[in-house]
Amino acid sequence: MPTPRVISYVGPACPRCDAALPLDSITAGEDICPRCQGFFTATVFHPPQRITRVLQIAHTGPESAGSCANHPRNAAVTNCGRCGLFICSLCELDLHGEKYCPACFDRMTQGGGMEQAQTEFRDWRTLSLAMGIFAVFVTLILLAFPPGAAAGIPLGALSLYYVIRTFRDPNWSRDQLPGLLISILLALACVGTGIVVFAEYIRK
Amino acid sequence: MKRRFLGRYNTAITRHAVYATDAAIEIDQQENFKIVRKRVFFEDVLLVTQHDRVGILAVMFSLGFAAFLMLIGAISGGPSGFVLGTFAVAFLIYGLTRIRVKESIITVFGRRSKARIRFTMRRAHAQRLYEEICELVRAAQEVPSDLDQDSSVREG
Repeated sequence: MPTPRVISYVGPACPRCDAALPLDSITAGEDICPRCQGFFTATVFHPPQRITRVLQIAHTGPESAGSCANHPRNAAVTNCGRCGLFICSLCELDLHGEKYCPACFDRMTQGGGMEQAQTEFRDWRTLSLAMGIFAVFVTLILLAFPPGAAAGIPLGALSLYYVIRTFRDPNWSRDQLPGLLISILLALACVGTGIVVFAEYIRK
Repeated sequence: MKRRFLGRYNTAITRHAVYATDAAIEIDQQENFKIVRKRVFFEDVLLVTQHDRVGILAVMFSLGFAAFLMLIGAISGGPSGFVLGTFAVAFLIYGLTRIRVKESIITVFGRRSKARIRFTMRRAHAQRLYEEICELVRAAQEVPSDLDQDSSVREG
């Protein structure tokens, strides 16, 4: 039984009601949606089609070219920089000047070896913020049981560790700074409270 | 590749942070403790739009909260009621300002995905960014030498 295709994006649409709009029907400048009658400013672009020129064995002759490992009718134009497979211009994937075949590209992407092709990342900032808030709750609750509030020390430290991981992340940007500052304050408050409570408990 | 933060688009269920790189607009979609990144390449952009709207949720929340604080302040009375009333007036002013000054939304439609950025009370900045994005797209879509528009090209 074929799996139903999920369509999540259908191309240009009204920015107000998301009704699909043919590109030809949109006028540059002020436009109005025929469905919701909402106004919007639009700039239409016609990007050039990227067409790959594929050299075929039938045109080059078998003496002058090897065939692509994936497309026997196509002439190989290069070989994969990782596995050495002969590939045609359809299969050729150029990454920072190095040519790869689709299979090697997939393997390297799954292995996390290519930062540019990676699309999923750990959100260290949210982790640090969540851990900071959790640490505050635990510390406040356990203040009723004096030595228990010391649990704020490891939890706060964990939040600070996530903050450090955020700063070391190459994707870190300044817009994350407010959240990180809140995390640091929460974590330091928990660690400080934990140390004070634990010291008081030992003194007694 | 250096990224520049452009803005955010948050709804009740999703949180998006939008960045610009040399070649594309990157959308970081936050899913729990994971970020899923999508890109709208400048060379794939079909349409860029900008429109204004009233942020209904923000207005309703502000006015509702102001009414709630006023009610509590009126019931409690005295100095605490005055403090609550002051906070209520602040929320009321914010709500009314949000009705007066609409939020601007820029939408960039690509071939396979789209990016949205919302600006609250910064319409001039939104206008500048809209023009900047259009300029970047125009520059990226100037036909470079490696693109071939020859219709006789065949695929194997």
